[in-house]
Amino acid sequence: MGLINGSLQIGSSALLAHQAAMQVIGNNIANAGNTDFTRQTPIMTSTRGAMLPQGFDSGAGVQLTGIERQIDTALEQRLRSATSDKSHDDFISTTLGRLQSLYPDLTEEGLSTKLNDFFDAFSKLQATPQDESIRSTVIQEGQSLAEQIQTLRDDIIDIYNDVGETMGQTVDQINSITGQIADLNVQIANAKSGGDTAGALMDKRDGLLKQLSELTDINVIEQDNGQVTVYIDSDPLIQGNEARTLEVRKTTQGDIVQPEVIFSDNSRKPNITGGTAGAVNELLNTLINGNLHQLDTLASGLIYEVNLVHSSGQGLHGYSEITSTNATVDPTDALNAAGLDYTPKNGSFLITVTDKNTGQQTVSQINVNLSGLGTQATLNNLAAQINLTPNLSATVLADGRLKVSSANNNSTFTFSEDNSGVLAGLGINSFFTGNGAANIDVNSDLVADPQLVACAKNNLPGDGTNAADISQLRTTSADSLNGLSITDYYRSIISDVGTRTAAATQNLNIHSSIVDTLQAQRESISGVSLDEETINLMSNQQAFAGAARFITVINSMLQEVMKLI
Amino acid sequence: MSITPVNIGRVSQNMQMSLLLQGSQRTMVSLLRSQEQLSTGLRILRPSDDPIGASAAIRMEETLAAQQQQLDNMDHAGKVMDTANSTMMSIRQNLLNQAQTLALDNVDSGATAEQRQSASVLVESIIQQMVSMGNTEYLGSYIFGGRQNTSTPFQEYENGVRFTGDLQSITEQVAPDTSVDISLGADEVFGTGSGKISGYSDLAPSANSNTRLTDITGALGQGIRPGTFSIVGSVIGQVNVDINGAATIGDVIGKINAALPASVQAALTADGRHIQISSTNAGETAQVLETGQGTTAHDLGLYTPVAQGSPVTSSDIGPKLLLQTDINALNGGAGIDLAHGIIITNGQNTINLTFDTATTVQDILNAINTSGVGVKAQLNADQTGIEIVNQIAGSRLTIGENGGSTADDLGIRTLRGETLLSGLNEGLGVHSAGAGENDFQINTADGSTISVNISGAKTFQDVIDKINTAANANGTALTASLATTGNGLVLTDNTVGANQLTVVRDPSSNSNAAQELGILKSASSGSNQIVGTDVNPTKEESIFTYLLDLRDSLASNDQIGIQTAGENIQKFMDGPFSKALGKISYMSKGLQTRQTQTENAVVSTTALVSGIKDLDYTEAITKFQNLQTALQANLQAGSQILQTSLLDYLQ
Repeated sequence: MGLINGSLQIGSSALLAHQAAMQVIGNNIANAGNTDFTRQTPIMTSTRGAMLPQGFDSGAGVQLTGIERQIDTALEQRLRSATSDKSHDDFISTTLGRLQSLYPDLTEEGLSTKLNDFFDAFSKLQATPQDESIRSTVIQEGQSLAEQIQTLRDDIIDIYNDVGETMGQTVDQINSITGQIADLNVQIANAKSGGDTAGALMDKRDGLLKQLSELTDINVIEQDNGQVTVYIDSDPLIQGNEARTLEVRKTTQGDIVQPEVIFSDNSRKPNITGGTAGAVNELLNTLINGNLHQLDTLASGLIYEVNLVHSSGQGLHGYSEITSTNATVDPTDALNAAGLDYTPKNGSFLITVTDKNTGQQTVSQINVNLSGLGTQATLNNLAAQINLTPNLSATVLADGRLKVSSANNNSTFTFSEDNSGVLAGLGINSFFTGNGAANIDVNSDLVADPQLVACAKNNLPGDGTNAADISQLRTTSADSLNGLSITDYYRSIISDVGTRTAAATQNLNIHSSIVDTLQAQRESISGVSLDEETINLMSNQQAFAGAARFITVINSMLQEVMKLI
Repeated sequence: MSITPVNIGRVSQNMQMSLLLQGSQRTMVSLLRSQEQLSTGLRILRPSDDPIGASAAIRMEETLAAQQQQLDNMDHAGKVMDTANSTMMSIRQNLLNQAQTLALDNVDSGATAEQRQSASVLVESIIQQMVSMGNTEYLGSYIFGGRQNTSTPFQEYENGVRFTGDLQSITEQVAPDTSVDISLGADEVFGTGSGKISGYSDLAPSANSNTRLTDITGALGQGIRPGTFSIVGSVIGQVNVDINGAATIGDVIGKINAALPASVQAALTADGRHIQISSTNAGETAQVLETGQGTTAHDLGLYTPVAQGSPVTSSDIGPKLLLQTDINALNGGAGIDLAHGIIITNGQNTINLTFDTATTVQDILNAINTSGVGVKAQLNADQTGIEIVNQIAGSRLTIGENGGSTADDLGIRTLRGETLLSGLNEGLGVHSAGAGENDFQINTADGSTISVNISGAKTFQDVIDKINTAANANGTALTASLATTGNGLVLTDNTVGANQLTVVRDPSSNSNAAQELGILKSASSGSNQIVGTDVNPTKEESIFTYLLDLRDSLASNDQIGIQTAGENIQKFMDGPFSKALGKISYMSKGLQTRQTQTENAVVSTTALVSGIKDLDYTEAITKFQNLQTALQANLQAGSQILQTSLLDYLQ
């Protein structure tokens, strides 16, 4: 009877094994639409049976010995890394797209129109410097230009700070995911030690790791006990059941809030280059920051170059009093080391004092000795020289600014032939005030009295040669702008943003393709093919049916034997 | 497009789905871009669409904006020129022709004094109209006032017409780097400003350490071009001096000395017009050479190719005369006589000016300019001396000494020894009776008579010498000299007697020379001197002067004066005025040509911008249709594949 019983055993093992296999197949089919799912394959093993009387072993049926996850772990790592890149590029290209929309010069009026209008107004003023209304236009164009630069800067900073905010959300997500992964690590280790394959848990963890890789670049190393250790660059993020939390530390500089990601436990700064967080870092430190810096350079160059010309010219009347807009740190320091944003050089300028009653003009030369030889010019020294000029007095104010005033009501003064740049440096007889995009503005003295716009070089009301020089700045190469002209430099900003955006979009396309390709590879290994599963289902169904028939046969055999009794 | 790997063994459900999804998404995105382009008509909508094209398009739009502005400017320039042109046409047709006719009508002997008198009233009204024409305004700018265009350039002043405008043209930008003159100076149109005493003295100011390099003429007349040069001494060897960054002469000398050892040093010479390099080393000789293609040593006048003993002295570096030049620096530091002052006579007005309080050149100029006699003192163009402009048309200007040598030192004395006789009396000159005949007689107190023949005299000094020689030859104690106060020829009679010093024409030759020299007169009673008049007055050769002369000649019934004035007006109309009219129409024409050129350039720039920015519709629509087809194919193929499944065959 042993034989018959053995045969029944074989049949029942087959029934059980194929039933189990069909469950696995059913689970595969059920998860056909789940992209995180890893296809599982039942492993059947034939069982060794007792010896047949003939001395052979026929086997004792079949057994489901395991369920295998069809996964290529190296591919998974590549996929995560490509996902990091893709989400990095995605964020950068979206943000740069937003940044470049601040430069609408191609389709509507942008800063280039304002620059053109500004220089055009000076070109117009050249032949009509006596015309008050055109003088007012110049002031308005200047103000509108300054305003547009400030608005552009504010808009860039809005983007900067918005991107900075993203960092906070990203870090919150990272912390939530790493916590879940640490929990799963524990469950998987427990399941594995109990002999379970823990497929569902691992699928869930793989899904979380993929999500994490969208946020930051990670390295995943699977341990023997089934747990994963996750690193950012070389800093461990998850080890076993422990997830280190990250936090954002914010530093505020003026209107810029700069976020910095650190580990909560030791305040160390991880080197994040990929994923959304890496994109935020790159945008804040290089791309948006660079754009902001370029705009600042443009504004600063515009202020300096215009002031350099303007400060040596004269308006329709002179000043009776003027206070420099820029201050020195210490009036006893040489002027090229006194903390002025625009550093003067060795040279001199002329002051002309005009008697309003008689029209008499008296010219005095003020030396700005910065040759390195002899007594170097300081602000105090400048004031002393001006004080020697008849009918003029100069004082250095407590805040380091210079005030020049005429000694009586009858005289006014004008400036000319400054080859030292000291007037532009101090902000005397300047057109613009400020030192960058944040604070560029038209000198309030000129706004109050457009007659002070310096169109002349020789104190005549119909002389527009200085206005001509200012309008020429449109195309004159400037040292302060790396040898580019003001409009050239602005165009270089646009083409820089354009090139970077185009590059980011192209990178995004490339990395999307890579992700798609890897995803296809992963699908080809781990994805569920319904047709395949159907075939497997059929084969298991047939095997099950066969085993059932076998049992029937054995049963009838048993019946036959029973009849012998 | 994503590429599905070649080594695919299995195709999962998700792969099919995602392939369909990705394909349709990409095509949809491309379709959206196409739609965007088609709806705006632009190929480049944002810089990233084509960074290089975007930059080029923006650049061309800048060019376009600048060209539009230039067209606006040219429009303005054209209107200014038209105003000038029509004003000048009206001056010629309505005023000058009328004045000319008045002169012709009254020059013949048929006209009576009364007729001439009333004609002079008409001329006066022409002058008034000329003044208001000269003060023609366009948009708040007096177009004949040069750059002094906010106040009327011409005013009726005492008996003449005063010009207080400026002679420089207004300029307007008409091309990126080109500005053109859009107005004519009053000098070109009216002859204004020609009554000028150009200073004949080089005031030779000395430089000091604060003298700016821009205020140095340089030994080659090219300024000082900073660079490097070398000093090669026989003892000290070669020393390279780099004067880049130097702004003043002090900086240059400082840089030379910083490069040289203590035994060899540079300094300005006492007259402040030369740089001297001296060595204390025994027997040292030196060369000063250029480095490479430099010109600095030449500019500083120091270039010394052949070794020379110490000191090496530069040629004159030519410090320019500036408004702020200290008077003590004049004449190589020796200074000039400013204490005595000058006497200026312009028309009816005479003023004695002293410069006691002057410390700088501009103090002298300011004192002259505010003297109220209608003159303007300024630096000459070369900045070597000063010049005085007579601002009043019709008025005669003379400048003389006030007991010293101030006027001569300043180079502005109207009559002096070197003055050519041919230029006296407003260019009419002095006419001698010729050799062998006497020109005039001087009768002295002692009853002597000196006969003077000035034939052969070229300058005023020659005349003085001839008088003195004649007096000597006659044994008469009479001296001729230039006035030390005022100006003119002074005859001093040192003889004793009852007669009065008198100059008369020579009875036989009846020469007019004494008159022309300004000495045909008698000494006033009690005086032993005849002070001659200054016969070299400066007057403006302008249409105003001629009209004023005509008016005055008509009023005084001076037939020769009327004729001269009439001829001058005719000459002016045919000469300078026609030239000015020609010039303004030439300028106008040039402007029109430029305007056409710029308009053409605008058209071609617009075409270029359009070529870069604008959409090629044919291409875009073809692309759009291709994309549509692709989308349709993708969707159809995808849905067909997804429909078939083995599951259908399960029993």
